[in-house]
Amino acid sequence: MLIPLGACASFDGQPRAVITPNRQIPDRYEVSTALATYYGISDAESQRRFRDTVIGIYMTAADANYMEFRRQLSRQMKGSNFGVGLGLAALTGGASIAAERTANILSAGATGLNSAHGALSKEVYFEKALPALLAGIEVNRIRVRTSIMRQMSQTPPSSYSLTDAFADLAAYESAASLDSAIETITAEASEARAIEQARFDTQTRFIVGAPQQGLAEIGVSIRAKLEALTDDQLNKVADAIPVARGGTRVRTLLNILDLFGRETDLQKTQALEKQVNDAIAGV
Amino acid sequence: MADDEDISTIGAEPGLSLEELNDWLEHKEGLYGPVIAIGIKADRTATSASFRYEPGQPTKTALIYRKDQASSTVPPGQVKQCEGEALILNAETDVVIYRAP
Repeated sequence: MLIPLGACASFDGQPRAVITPNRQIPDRYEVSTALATYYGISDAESQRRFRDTVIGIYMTAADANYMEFRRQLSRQMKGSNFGVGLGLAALTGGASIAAERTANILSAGATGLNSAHGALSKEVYFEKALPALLAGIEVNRIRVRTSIMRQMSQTPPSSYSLTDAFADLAAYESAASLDSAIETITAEASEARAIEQARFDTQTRFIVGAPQQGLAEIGVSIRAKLEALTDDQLNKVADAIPVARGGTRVRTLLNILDLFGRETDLQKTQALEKQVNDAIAGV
Repeated sequence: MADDEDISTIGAEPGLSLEELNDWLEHKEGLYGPVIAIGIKADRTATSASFRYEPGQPTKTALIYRKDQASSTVPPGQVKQCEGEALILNAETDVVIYRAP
């Protein structure tokens, strides 16, 4: 059965909201009722207890909905052979795909990725994005949850009212959406790319050509010998070569290995190997 | 930018062939640890790659592939390490690095 992707909108990529009338929330804790009760309480301690009770109920309900959301994702991943079944066609917009369960979370997420967040490539989506999205959701939820818990434990009702709490609870639910997760990981990916580019531009230690045959084996061998040394021995080897000690064992080791990294000539590397081996033998 | 002490960023000359660049990568991984990123310096004078030092060696050598040929040239089961750009024979080329598990 072929179903256009555009018809796959029955799932909106996020858990069902509980900040609306919801059978998981007892009537007396519905938003309007709870707020009326809260503002009718004159005693600060009772008000705090009621506030915390309401927060707890709503967070529990949101967590339950979130877990159901994850269960649906898991079921549909297993049922649809996602990577192959949906395929790239699912991300081209308006394409048809041969799968019974196209009206599912995954294709809804794919639609969102393709149309609204082009920064994520299709390949990235299939190889990494779904697990990354789920991780992003977890990060977002923990971030909001931590904020709420901190407010509950540290803030009196006069500074953190039930109205404030409902706003945060709405944010807690929103944090579980695929859209929110996409924004998070896209921002993180951009930041990571910027950091890497800065590293390439400012911290490239040297530029060399291709090594002659045999250099790789010598490098591996020397590194293993250096790693077997104690810190004191490694420092003595550095002094004997001589190579500047680094502030740490790793830095000293890498300073020595730089000698080999800069070299592309086999004969010169063999001479260097002898020099380092002699230094190692002397400690 | 923080200078991670266990990360070494090394440049490769821009005129290397893909085979030479892979020889370069093998040599550098043996010294500095597994490759974690590859790209081109902003001044376009070199391919740069970053390696994160870990005691011991990677069990399998990583290989650089042209991204547009990766689907047909990467053996099944390889694990992608990173992707970026490289200068191959002085030409900017999208590449991806895989390692056997």
